[in-house]
Amino acid sequence: MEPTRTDQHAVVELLDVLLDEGVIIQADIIVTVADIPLVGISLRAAIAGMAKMSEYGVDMSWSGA
Amino acid sequence: MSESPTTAETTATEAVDSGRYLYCLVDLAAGSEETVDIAGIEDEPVSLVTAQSAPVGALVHRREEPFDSTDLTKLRDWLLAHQQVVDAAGDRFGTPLPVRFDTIIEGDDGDVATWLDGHATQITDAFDDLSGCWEYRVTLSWDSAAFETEQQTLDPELSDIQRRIEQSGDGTRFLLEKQFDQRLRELRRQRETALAERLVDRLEPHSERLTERPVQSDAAASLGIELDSDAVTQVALLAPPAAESALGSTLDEITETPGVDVRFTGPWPPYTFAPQISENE
Repeated sequence: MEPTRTDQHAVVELLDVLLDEGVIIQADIIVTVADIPLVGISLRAAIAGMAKMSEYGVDMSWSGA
Repeated sequence: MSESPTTAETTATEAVDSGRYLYCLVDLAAGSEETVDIAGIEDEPVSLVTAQSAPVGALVHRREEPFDSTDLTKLRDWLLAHQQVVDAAGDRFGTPLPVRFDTIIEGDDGDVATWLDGHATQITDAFDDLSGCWEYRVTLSWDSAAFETEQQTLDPELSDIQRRIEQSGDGTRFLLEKQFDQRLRELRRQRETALAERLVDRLEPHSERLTERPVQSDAAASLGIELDSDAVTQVALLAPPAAESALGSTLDEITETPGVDVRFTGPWPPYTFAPQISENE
């Protein structure tokens, strides 16, 4: 089998990772939302919502192939 | 052109006079481009800031405050736009160091360059570690129905409980049925553990690095949403594109096990294997 990037699940999976992972910079010059967990929760809840959206056939198409 | 985030949920948002939204860091050792032609989140023009002291750069756009919204459509668009920039960076510069969504550096291009220079060693070390590899992800799921049916005759303990259920009265029957369920759950768990271990063992030889990830995000779990109800385990691994064929063949063999299915995604920028860049150089 070959790896894919374009199916719905793959996109939702990526977006979840995008919120949580990646280079984390510790520096005073980083502008942050003062209470990070609030933002994190609202964004992550939205991702979970997107999973539902993709199940209902809402267009999650993305040209990154 | 850039849209202000909704203010209802952003009482904690800080804004600065000048800032740069950071998409990713790029390795310029193979030669640098002075300009990039990529549209970023909300069509903001993305630019490349380069360090003075090392062949590394950052893709940024001007942004004074973090993006925040509970509007699903807006969030989806922002995240996908972010990823498209990182994708374009990968095409042009090779494996990028992707930065977590919504990271903004206070200041201007010069401040970003100063930051890059100040952390050049950490950044170049990170690129050396990645050495042209990309992230791939494998989710293994397993439909246990056939296994459970089979175990009812194969497992001596289950067969024994079943026999005692048939011979018992109501009170004992209730307890025995609980025992039956418990035993079945245990057998299922043992099998899931074995499947996960086998997946890791088979993928490790083809990977530079590998890590198992939880199959369900915390947010999804707290909202009672199962992203993948039969998922047993998920693996993120770092590998060169040349390994895709071997990885694919290994996964084809794994799916020959009854009830087992595999989702194989990638190549992704290495979010899972990206470092934390600390203040200490």
